[in-house]
Amino acid sequence: MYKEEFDDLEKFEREDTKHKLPLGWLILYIGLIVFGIFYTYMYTPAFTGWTQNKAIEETLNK
Amino acid sequence: MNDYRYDYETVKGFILSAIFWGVVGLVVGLWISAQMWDASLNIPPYFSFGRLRTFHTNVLTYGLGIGAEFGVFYYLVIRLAKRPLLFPKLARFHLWLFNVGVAIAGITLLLGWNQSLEYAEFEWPIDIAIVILWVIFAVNILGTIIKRKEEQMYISLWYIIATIITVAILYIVNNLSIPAGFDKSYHIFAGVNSANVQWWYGHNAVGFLFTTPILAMFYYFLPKSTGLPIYSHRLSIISFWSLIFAYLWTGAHHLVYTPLPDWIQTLGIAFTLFLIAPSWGSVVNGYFTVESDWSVMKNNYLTKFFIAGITFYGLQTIQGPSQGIRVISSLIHYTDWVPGHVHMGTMGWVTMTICAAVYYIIPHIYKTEIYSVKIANAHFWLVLIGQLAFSITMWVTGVQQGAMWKMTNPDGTLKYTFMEGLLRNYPYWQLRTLAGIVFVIGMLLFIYNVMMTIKKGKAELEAKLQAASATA
Repeated sequence: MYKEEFDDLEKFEREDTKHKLPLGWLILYIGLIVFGIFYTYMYTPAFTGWTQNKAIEETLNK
Repeated sequence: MNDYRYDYETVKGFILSAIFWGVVGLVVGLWISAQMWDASLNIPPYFSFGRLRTFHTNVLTYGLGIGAEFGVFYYLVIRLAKRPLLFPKLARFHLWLFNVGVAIAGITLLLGWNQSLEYAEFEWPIDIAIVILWVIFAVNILGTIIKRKEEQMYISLWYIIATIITVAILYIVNNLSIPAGFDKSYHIFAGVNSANVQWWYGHNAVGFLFTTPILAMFYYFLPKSTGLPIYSHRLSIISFWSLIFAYLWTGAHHLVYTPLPDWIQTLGIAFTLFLIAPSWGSVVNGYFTVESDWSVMKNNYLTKFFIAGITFYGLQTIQGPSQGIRVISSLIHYTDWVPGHVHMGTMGWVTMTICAAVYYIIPHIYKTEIYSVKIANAHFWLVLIGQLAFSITMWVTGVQQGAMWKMTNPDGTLKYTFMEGLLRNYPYWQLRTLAGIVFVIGMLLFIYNVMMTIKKGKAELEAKLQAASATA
């Protein structure tokens, strides 16, 4: 019926930025990993003794 | 002669079916939004809110969303693999089974066959049919990718593979149940385990039906329709793997302040917050791609859809993770904020990107131009306004609801009754229906445009064939 045009995958990527990660994004990425570890430590009963029930009781006693 | 003649009939079939189920789902959506402020619009038992709501979510998720994804994936995979589908007849069978399946599934929901798992309401006979359907799809797509003639695997293929594998795992595990008759079954997990598995499924269904497949489309159609190459593949690949890794741990954020163990909730929230990074990786990639030449926003009508779509994806992936945090969850969970949040994603990101993909594919298949760019622009603005009005009214009323539920008198009793909170929602619910009407009008313009393009393409093809036979 008609000729099919092929996609040239080479054209899908900009050469000048091939291996670049934006610095701001990289900071966000690493920052969120660090924060995730900190958050998990802080709010896990086995590490810090924090529990959901204690937190609610504290709010109610305020 | 031409080994590479692709089978576009199946692609067209899926796109048209998706559009059909989209109309059905949208109309029911309007209906249930009106039921919220006018109870007399409930027609029990088959058309009451409880049954129509599941019908609305499932028909739009499976009929419109997945239907379009099937069609677009069949289109993308043959092009990115540079070979025809491995089993074109199986794909055709898949198309028929899909349509019969959505019809039967929708009817069973109206009949009240329902297990109480959100987004997994279908009863076990339907579940088995869905698994068969998915296996057919997986064999065809994965087989074609394995036997591909293009060595390099473009990022869209990674997202497609992730969608196929993950949905299979999620669907099978969460739908494990013990049948108690033909139309009733019980979840194999009980209590807290049932809730945990259900939200592991529920959240990841959003991820692997509304995020990864749409990103697959975005990464292919953005460079194709604008002619601008993607900013960085390294960024897209890193975003892909971190998204896939982090997503599956996040379901517990739906169960904050429930009997689910504290450490699981915490881990879920931590992974949820991390998800901002990979999501924004794709957002940044999209913006930086278009940044190399912003004139495409003006000159190419499809760019608007993609950039607005990825913007809503970006907003959604800030809003979602922040909702997971305990303090915000305690205010807005179980309120109307949640439908506001969901619809920014489904109406803003998913539907806009799917529409843009269809606008690209249909003229391409028929070797013609779109019927009317003007109508496409009108479609864009109506959908944008409708979606924003829907989301914003629900955010406002959600915060109001949450605040009213929480307010207490000095002696500790509740300041407002549940009914008082409910009455205050009415104006916002009515506005939402209006917003929905605007959105649906936009979508009807889209359908008209697509249909006219098909008509135009067919006429042009006919003329070409006649001219060819006249000269011969």
